[in-house]
Amino acid sequence: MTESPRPPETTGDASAAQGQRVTDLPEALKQRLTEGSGTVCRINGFQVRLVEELTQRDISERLPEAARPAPPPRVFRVGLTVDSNTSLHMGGERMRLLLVAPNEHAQGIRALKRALDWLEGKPGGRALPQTVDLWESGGVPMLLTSDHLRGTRALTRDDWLRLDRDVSVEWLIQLALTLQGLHQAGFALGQLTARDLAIRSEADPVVLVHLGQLIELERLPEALALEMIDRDIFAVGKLLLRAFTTVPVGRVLGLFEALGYEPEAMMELGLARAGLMQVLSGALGSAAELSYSNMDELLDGLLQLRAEMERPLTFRTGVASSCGNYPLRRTDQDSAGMTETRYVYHGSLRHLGFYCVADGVGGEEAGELASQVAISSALAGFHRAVGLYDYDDLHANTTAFARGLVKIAAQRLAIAGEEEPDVHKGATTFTGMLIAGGRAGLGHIGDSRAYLLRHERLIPLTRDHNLAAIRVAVGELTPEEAEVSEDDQRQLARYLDTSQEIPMEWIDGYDPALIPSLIEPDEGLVATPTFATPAAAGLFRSDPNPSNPASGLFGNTNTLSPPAIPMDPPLFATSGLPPSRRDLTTPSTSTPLGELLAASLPSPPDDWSPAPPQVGPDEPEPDLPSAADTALRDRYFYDAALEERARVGHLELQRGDRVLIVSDGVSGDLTPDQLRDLMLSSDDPDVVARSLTEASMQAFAADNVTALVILIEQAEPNLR
Amino acid sequence: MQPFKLTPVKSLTDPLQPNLETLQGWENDTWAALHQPHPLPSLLELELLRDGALTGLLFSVRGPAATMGRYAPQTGPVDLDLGVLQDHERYQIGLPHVRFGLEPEGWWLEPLSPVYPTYLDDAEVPRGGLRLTDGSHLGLGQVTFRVHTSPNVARLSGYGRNVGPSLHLKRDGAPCGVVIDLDDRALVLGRQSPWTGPVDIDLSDLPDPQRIHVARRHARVFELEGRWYVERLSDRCELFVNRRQDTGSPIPMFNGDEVGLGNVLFVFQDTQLHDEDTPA
Repeated sequence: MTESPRPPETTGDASAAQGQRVTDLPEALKQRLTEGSGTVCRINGFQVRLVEELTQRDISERLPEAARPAPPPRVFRVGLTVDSNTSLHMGGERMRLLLVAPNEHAQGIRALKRALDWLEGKPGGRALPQTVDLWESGGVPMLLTSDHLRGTRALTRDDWLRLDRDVSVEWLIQLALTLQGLHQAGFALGQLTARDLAIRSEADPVVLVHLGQLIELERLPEALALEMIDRDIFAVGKLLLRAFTTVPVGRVLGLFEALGYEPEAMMELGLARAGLMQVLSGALGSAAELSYSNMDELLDGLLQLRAEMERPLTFRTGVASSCGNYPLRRTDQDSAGMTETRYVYHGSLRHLGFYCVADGVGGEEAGELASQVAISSALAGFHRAVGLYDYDDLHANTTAFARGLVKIAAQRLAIAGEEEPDVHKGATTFTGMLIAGGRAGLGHIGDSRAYLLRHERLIPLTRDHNLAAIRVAVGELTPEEAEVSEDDQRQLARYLDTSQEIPMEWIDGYDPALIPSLIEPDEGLVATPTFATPAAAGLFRSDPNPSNPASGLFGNTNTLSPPAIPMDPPLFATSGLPPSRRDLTTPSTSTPLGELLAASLPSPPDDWSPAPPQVGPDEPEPDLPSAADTALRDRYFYDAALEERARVGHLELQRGDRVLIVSDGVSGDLTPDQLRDLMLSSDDPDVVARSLTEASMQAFAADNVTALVILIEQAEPNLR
Repeated sequence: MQPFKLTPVKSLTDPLQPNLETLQGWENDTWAALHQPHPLPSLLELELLRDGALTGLLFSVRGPAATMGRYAPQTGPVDLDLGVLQDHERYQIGLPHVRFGLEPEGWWLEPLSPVYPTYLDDAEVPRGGLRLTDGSHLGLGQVTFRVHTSPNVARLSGYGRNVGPSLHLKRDGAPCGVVIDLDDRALVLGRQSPWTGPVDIDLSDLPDPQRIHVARRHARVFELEGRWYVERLSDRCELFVNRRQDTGSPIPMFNGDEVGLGNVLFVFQDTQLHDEDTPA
């Protein structure tokens, strides 16, 4: 190997890392990528060819200061050789993939470029790299594809056997989506095997690397074209079989041929499972009436199989409210409401619920009425939403709907005030959570509060809209002074009123301080597949390198790149996994070059370890601000950009979570530690709610007290 | 958990906003013109700064004079309503806070708030006011705007010429082309609902900051013996004529009078009125 001078052209790397499309790589960089020297070794299952060694100066100039390792390692550009026909070259701070094909595959790689272009932005395209550039060098076409390939490595047979089955099915759905897209674009693979798959661990579960063999269907006779499609379907069926049995695939297929697809034969092989039999017989079978004829049918089968494997979250709720024991407060002006819908479509249990608390103000009767009208109109609005919108719409936009329900409660209150001004003259706070599947959205105005209890930590989800927050924001009070200034705490800045409506801008979603932990709505579930495993359904954590826009949780969805929503790393993890499975997310360091490559890669986020499935004191704690230890300034957080994003973000709930919505009578008189302890005091949500209100009264709450508690659990799957 | 949604794939950039009419359970009459972009160019633009950085959030003045601040029923309408700002930004905004006037030499700025200060490039503006210059920074209480003046001067075609009795909606200090022609029958203006019933002129399609101050049955406009009157119907929402609060009885309208339903401003036009009908 020879040390090369510092490459003068780094603009391509930098712009790609920021999600921009590079259309014209500098010639010198192309040359360097093409003519790398020939040292070869194996790393992560790929043949690696060393292309270039970077100098220390390169490292210091290319890597942002925060990302520079200490002491600085030697860093190499490397290329990967997959087989004798196609080469993959990876290089740059954020890895890119370079496909190089010899002359006989030149046509194929140009076809691949067309296929990638066609698939860009489509669901199937997410499992493929995106084209950055295509050029030719000495008659050899070179295709440079996008980044987001950090950690990409070959998928081994052992991996496939050790994967959780729900993860395997998820990957196969991604693969089938890609194949569906390729077929629609007029291409097929024809010879897909497990060896052709690579793991792209950060953002997408599967990446196809064996694309040099791309077959253009329109160049084939119709019968042969159908045969190529059948082969792709068959290949996915074989991969599915591998996920469910350790019996060699050839033997299984032999048994199928001998015994047919009788339930007894399937049972013999341990494959007589709901949903699975249908896919195997459709993808692998020869019976014409059962066989899938296109990728759409295979996808339908895989989706049904996944539905059978789902473990949806379930919800138990309790509520308690009291006027309290303060002599001057004779009635309870708080109101609370909840409504839930559960149904089963296509084997999937779907849960939709809306849970809300309103704290009326403005005099005894007026306050009672205001909170009651707000709750009843929001609940009615929720049922209209369930009836008139798809589940998918609600699931993808939980916070937008929750805020919409607060808005119509505001409208109804103002109408009531206009209709009967002598009766409806009060106002109210309102905090409502809309849950769809495992996602929770929030609509909030006033000083009632919502909390999430996760792993014994109480996490505030809302901020108070009161004078104290304003005076801190403008510098009149310090956060410490605001905390003890009861007058400022009591004066509400925003609330629902019977005298006038409020603008939508006044209705919060989540507390903006939570933004790094929340997820913005995505384009549908293709981009962020969710898993039934408790480990995979966690809150996303903050980006370890916030200055890197491409790795943020809130990737700019306006760019051409796929949204940078990281796949939940616990994808690989459930409780009791062997350590080797966790290693899937990091490069192998078994070779000297592997060590160097690993050192050159950006450090994986801390949260790549599995999330715990159960609440327990030894489990890793989430990277979220808790009520007890959050700095006071975080409670008075104002950032216009985060404000906007907090209005669309949602929370991913997980088993063991507990949600609490309370009026300020509870939150104002109990400490965060008391709230947490009481939340954990029982597994009966009604008992928890009553404990909270009783404890508030024992603390001599001068206010009405209301607590609504949601315990989140998980159902068993149909398919074990 | 939810299966993948295969088709149609939703747009990456367009998260769904629920239709509030669907959630509320009834539909308003649509009147798209009420929320269309203003047809006149801006003469003065005030861009909000947050943490010293421009936000792209513009407040535009499109007429020769305009007030800016917060709307409150007690103090009357403002042309540029800052009620949509964040809590701490609204904290020291007056009701109204400032007035802008276009003079031959340029824009003049006059503070109106007796309580909250007005700054121009960090210097407090005296009560008599100061001339605004392009690129200067205007501070209202806790909020700062960057000033951008424009040489554009335009006028809605047909506005003010030989029109019968009519109400012209004003936004950003200038008529925006929405016209309510008045005939010999009384018209109720407001926002319809199943509880309060229909209205003749439904203003439900106004943008939120204006709409929320309009009552369901806000005001009635009628003609009596050749003269036009406006009468407040709502107990909760205010009616203003020439920015003065209505006293409760029908008020006669003269050519050029400004009628405010909450913070929604109309100009009454009737060029057929004789000069002697117009008060001095």
